[in-house]
Amino acid sequence: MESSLGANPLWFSFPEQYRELVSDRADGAMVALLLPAMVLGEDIYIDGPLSERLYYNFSGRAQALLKTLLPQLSRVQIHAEHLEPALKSSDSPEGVATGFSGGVDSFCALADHLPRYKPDVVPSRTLTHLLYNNVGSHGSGGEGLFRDRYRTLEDTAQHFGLPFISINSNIGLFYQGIAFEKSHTLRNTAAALVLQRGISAFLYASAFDYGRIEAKPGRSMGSIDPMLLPLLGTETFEAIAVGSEYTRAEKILRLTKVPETYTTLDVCASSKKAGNCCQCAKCLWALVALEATGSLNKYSSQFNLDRYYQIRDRYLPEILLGEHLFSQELLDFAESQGYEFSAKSRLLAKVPFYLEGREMGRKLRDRLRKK
Amino acid sequence: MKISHPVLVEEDGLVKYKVTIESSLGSQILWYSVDKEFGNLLSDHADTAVVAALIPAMKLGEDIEIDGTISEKLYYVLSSAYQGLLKDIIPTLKTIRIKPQSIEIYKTKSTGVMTGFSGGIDAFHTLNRHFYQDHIPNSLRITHLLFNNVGSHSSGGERLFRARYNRLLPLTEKLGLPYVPVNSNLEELYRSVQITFRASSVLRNASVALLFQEGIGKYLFSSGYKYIELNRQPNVTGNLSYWEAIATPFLSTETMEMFSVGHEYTRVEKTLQVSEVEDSYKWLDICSTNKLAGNCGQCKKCLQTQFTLDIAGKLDRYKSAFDLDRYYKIRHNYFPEPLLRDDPFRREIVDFAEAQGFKFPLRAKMLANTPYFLELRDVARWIRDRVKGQKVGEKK
Repeated sequence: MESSLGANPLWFSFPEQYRELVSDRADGAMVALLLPAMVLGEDIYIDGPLSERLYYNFSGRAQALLKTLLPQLSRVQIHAEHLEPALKSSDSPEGVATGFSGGVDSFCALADHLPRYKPDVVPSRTLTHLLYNNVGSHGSGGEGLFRDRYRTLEDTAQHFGLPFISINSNIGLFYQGIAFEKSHTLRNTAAALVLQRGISAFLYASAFDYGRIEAKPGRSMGSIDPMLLPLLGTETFEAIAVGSEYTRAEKILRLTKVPETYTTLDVCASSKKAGNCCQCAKCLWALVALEATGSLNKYSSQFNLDRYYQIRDRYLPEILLGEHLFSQELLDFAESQGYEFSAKSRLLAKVPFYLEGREMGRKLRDRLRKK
Repeated sequence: MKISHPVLVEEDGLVKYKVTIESSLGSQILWYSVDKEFGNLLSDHADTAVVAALIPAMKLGEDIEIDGTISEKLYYVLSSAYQGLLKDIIPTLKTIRIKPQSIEIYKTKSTGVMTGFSGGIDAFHTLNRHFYQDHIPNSLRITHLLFNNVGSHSSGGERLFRARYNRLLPLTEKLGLPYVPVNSNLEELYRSVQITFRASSVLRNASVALLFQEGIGKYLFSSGYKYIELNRQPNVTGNLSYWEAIATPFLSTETMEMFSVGHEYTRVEKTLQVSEVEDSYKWLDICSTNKLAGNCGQCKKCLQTQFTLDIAGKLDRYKSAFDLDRYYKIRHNYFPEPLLRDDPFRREIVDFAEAQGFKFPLRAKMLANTPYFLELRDVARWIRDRVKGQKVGEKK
């Protein structure tokens, strides 16, 4: 890829045994590089065979949609040397893939597309492959954390009897300055699209329910998943947003019926090591939701519950005070499950400037520690 | 809700797609009729009936049992995600189960490209992007135009449907595009469960498109809104049109791909692009009144379009489509309306007018800032019309 920033190869690597799934078309590269080109304001000249459908969507609608999220982007022209519909021979495999991180969204996607949990799932949407990508989600943990996390999930994938494909990539190099949160759908779909010789449907576990879908500047890319994903397909590859019919709390409730989650659920946002830290906002939110369902003890191998009970009452006021994007959802869910927030947490939430005071105390403590 | 096996029957030179729907409301026949010459495009699959009946069944909270075949791809979506989406837009709906007689992965590959054509700005814009222009790939070049009677003609009903179709027919003949009129009693089904056209437009129109799976492989929905308008404003609830970018592609089958087009442009931008299409000068039909085909020149949509073209210096091109003398006489009465900036179209018109250096009169600005201006104006108009009516009566 040559741009005003210089020349750099973009690569995706797959274990050798999946070679027959890998396509040498330019479609994956196109999905990977549209956003970086729009950031630079540079037209794209692409040399390999490009899907006519992708070209059409990327020349107009996809750029308009991305600009609603990131208004600073520039419209670019796409010049394709070889516009060719992607074609598949009749004996090509019709694989159905989803990313599997062990998190709430991906487990829910898995549960909705495997006959053992959803007996009436149709064959053309039944999962045949699981993907695990290194396209930026592992933060500063990088490739090391990617490998660690992959290893911790391998047994579960094997238990489901599905191939678990690790996809490594240097795509992050082209997204410097573009947060993962603002670009994850494109990064992950690009990796899946490279497998379009054997994968015909990519189910992308969307984190946002329909009530949170909106095209608005500054929002996470997840907020436009159901609009963006249909634009990322080719003639032989469909990208589909799944799971938006559930709130996050409803997904957690669904997962409590999936025994594999008891020993594998990984919701953590920290990028230090595989597993759950039990202290970050995502861990704590999930812990409260699980506690509300009455199933928290089933997850004792995945979370340090003693630690959680120690800090819970200091976290709950954050929810009661609406500090988080999903606070209201958790409050509503807790109420629907008959869960009562502890008296201590309700009291703390009523203390004037409680959160501000706690934050100041934290900073002071950190300074003293440093000294 | 039980839906009988769809049948295609010939009646009076028409081909009718018919099903009987039995629900707690009683037994109803749902039908769509198409001129016999287009009969070869019709499919007797149950996709049309299921898409048509989904919202009514969800409103009644009744599972759908259907004696026919539906697409596996469509079944997957309608059984789960689509119901979640609809419930978010119309909170009174309930989750239901869909039980078809059979589910099939369709193998037919149809090549036709169809779009609805009403002669409006969105429809002309789609025609411009997918027919008039030279560089359109064949797979996306429009081959058929569709005109439906599924509720959009409101109180004008079938009479207005026929009048509007007949008005545009000469243009489509000139273009050499088959113009397919589809009549239906679908509105009755929705009226019986008190669901408005705007809350269900995508499904109503998609149910018609799905009739044509034997010959049509792509159906383009002309969208009325930019992506950014889907932003959780209160008016988004209950209006499925805002959700077209999500709601449309979901309704695809293995044979027919559906998608909405035009989300990347504002209505002003579309109007300016359409103003370069010569055929639109005579045939543009954007009127929202339910009396006659053609433009009344006085309704909200007529005035906003004329004003946009006026500001752009292109209104004179449309002297066959609008009564321009009338417009120039009454346009000052319209000026306060866009200044209310209370819907996407009004906001973009003001932005465009100001960018073009148009100065709204002080009177218009003051009126726009008057509380309940529109309501007061409507009351004044109503009284004036009543008084005029009485005077006419006295003269008689």
